[in-house]
Amino acid sequence: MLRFVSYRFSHYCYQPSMWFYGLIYLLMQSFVFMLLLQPLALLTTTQTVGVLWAVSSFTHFALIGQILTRQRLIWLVEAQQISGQSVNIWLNDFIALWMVYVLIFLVALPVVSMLYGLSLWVSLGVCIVWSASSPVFLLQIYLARCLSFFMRGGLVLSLLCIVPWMIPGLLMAAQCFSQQDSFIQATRSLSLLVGGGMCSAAALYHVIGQVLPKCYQHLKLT
Amino acid sequence: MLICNLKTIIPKWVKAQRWNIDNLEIHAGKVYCLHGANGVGKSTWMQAVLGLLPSDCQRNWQTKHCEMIHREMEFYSILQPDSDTNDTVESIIRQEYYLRTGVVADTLPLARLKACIDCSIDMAIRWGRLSLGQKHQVMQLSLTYTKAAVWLLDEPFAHLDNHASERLLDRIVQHQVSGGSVILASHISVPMDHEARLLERVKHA
Repeated sequence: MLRFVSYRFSHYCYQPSMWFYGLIYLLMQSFVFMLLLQPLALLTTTQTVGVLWAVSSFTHFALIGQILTRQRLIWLVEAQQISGQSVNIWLNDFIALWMVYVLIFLVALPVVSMLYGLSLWVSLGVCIVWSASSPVFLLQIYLARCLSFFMRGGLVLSLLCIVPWMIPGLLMAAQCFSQQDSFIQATRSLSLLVGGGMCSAAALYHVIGQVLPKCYQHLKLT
Repeated sequence: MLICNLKTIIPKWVKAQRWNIDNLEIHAGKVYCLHGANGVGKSTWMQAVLGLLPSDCQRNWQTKHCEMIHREMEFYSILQPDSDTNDTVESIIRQEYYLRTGVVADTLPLARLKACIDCSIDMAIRWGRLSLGQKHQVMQLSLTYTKAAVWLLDEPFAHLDNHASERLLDRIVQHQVSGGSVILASHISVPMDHEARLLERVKHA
């Protein structure tokens, strides 16, 4: 399993679109928002983190649209069917994709934190909360992207369907950031976020596993 | 010797499919050619047999030997990698080998695989730089190590030059002689010529 993840990880690392839409797009957006939100001194730390969170989310949307193309979806389903192994192809591929995301985020975070004047501890907190909540968030966008193949120009519609399911995760992340003063409270919120995330991830894993073959059939037959 | 009895009923709502093969008996050492025009549904039928598309597909394996192969890998079909991948040829070969066999392609199997393809293909080159024929050659490398009893080959001779076609014919003959079967889908007349030559080769073998 780890071997296949490493193959896919190197595959995604070599994708120019991954770095352009992941890193460059994130930095460009951060810079534009920084210019628009002047003076930054008027924003509280939580608001600044919120802006950073929004920028990161927009980047996810753009990137998944570029990465999960029709060809890749067809490859994922065919590879799963044809391979003689019991490896879950799409899940391993997703894990590799998420790992590259984490890598990109870690590369971008120091620059973005500098742009917004975030302290080291707040940046570290953002990093931890983002790492805890991003797998579920990515899975949700992944599902939205799969659903978008069922209709023409369906990305917006599918996102509208998925957005309500994102709200609890966002609220839990916001709760983590609003309790910066109390370490115990913040840890409690983070545990809740991780627990909720694990339940959501388990449900999404089964849903996406069911949706992918249907999506393949739809792409091939209509 | 009968290997497998294949009944594939594809639902009427599958638009691409205008015909069905109700009962195909696959015998050992035989090549079956699905010959027809574009869009009649040859590839769709193959995808249904592979279980990728909805169908009522019953595969009745006849011998214990084939049953064992069947468990390991049912039918063999060539996989096309992402068209927009930026990987090197070597990493594509490694990944494909791992997917098919579950074993990491170390130095020895990799060297053996390299020897099977056109020497003009550089292993360090990016996948997107290869021509269509070269891509087909690389993906057909998996024919050298698959253990499947029945090969489903969809347009296997498309884009290949004469040397590569010859190599592919040799592989098919080897498979036939060792008791395997091949189902070929094609819409051009060239493979008919290949098929005649194939029979000739098998006689010699």
